[in-house]
Amino acid sequence: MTPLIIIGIYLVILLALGVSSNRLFKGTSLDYLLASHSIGPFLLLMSLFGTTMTSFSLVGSTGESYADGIGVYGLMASSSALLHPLCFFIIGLKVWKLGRDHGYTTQIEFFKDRLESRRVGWVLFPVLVGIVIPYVLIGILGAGITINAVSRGVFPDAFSESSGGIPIWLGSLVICGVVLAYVFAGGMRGTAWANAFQTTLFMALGVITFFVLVKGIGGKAGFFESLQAASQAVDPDKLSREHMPHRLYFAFLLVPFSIGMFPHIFQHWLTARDANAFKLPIVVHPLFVMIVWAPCVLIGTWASAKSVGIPENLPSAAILGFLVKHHSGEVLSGLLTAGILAAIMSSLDSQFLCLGTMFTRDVLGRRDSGSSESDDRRTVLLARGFVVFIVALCYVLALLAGQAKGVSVFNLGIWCFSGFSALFPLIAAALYWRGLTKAGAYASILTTAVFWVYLLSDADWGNDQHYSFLGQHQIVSLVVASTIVLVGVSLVTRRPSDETLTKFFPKT
Amino acid sequence: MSDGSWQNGCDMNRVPWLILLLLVAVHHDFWFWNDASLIGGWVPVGLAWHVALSIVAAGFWLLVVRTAWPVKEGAPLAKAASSSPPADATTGPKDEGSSK
Repeated sequence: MTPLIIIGIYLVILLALGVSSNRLFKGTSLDYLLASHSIGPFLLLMSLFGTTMTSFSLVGSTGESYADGIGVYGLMASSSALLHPLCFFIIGLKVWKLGRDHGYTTQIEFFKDRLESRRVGWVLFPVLVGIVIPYVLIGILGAGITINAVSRGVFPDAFSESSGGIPIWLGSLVICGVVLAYVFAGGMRGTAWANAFQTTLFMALGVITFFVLVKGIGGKAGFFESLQAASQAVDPDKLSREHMPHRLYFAFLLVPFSIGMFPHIFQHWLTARDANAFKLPIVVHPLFVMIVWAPCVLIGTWASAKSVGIPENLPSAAILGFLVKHHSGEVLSGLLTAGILAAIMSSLDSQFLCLGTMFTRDVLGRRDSGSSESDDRRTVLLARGFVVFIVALCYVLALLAGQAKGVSVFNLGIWCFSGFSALFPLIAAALYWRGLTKAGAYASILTTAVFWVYLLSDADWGNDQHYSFLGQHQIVSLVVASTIVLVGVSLVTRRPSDETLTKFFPKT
Repeated sequence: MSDGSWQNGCDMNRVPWLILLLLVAVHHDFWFWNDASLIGGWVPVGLAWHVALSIVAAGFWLLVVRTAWPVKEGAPLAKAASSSPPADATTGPKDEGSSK
């Protein structure tokens, strides 16, 4: 029961943060959706990092390392340490500048202007939402699974069907409710504050988890002896990349580029107070990635040793929760679970707010410019309404997705990243290539959407974890196809007007 | 505030990008691929390489923001071309979350 009480206290603190941030709310849609462009370097760092790290980074990385060993770090973490800051630098900074100059709040508003196409949202909106939804579901399901794992046996009579633990549907519901509450109350400012708190918490507790689990898994009196015992008990093939194909490793270099087209990251970029606010995230992000991923990958790799005693049928997403429960005291178990939930929630909040923003701005076409105060208040009301709708919809979809057997958190995440990586050439071309045309952009978006759905269905909706198309990982196939179509169609179709090109490529 | 104008691409000198290419190349460390040895008896050598690469990445990006920052300091914001002017552009937003 103690872990649940600690988790409860943590959730109450989050709610209090949401309410506190609401006191600074200016009542305008710009303030609700972009915190009035007031986010400084520290909050931007924590928001971007917290949003990037989700259950995929903690629960997924541990589970995947349990299966594949230490190669997972190079596959996902060090590549992100190198290339996420590149995206902040070449995409984020420029997007921020254009957003400030021209008043953009969403990606679609930017593309409408850049492509001289009022209808590009009709194509891009469903594609963005369709690909981001699996990412949201990962978080909701991950939260439910984590709470279930830590509470097993606490309620043997009430929840006998879920091994005496809080059922996944209930855990997910509570988490969705708390995130909804502080996003609803505080908007982007509440999200940024909550992200800073959550990111600090999950990083600190992640380090503590590592130290505790070293002793638990290694089983020796001394810390260093336990480290050695834990590593030396592992099968050597998990300590190398003997079974990891070089081609797969190379293909995964494309994964970090997905961040360039995440709509919720786009929205965070626009909240920056000034260009200098980007410097801290660009420099510190690689270190934060290392602090979170290295312990998780080591723990997952250690867990693969037979002596650790992971049950054979335990889902990969439940491995971290299992280890925490079996190798730490009740208080620490509660704190560590709160840390895992913090990582999950710090992504969910931005995703919910962003989807609500897109519905308000891109579907309903609400704008803040030239509108009356009452009209702007109505926009805030609509945004809040859409956030509620999105949370409810995602929760129901998560419950349905939870029925599916065999789909790993890691695999579902990779499918999502693959789709966004395939859209990266679009944002890169929009910012750096004068030759990008409306037709080229439409063709690239549609190619990505159709091809992504086709490949996903061909991979048994994510169940085939070793899927390849023409011998290539799906991310390579998708990026190559979208790029060829984008360039090819743009070369033979009409460019935007000189006025638009001058606007986006000013001569300085 | 430094929300200034974007400099020409030529201002971003090529050296950082060559270093980035080198870092991406050494990310594919085929020389440690099948090596399961443990440094200090507990850190797999392949993991140690990539952790070191993450630290080097932070140093590299520090170099980039110091030497190739593409936004001019102190230049004014461009005049809004769309119908939606940047809010708070005249009064300036309040600072939040500054680490300075």
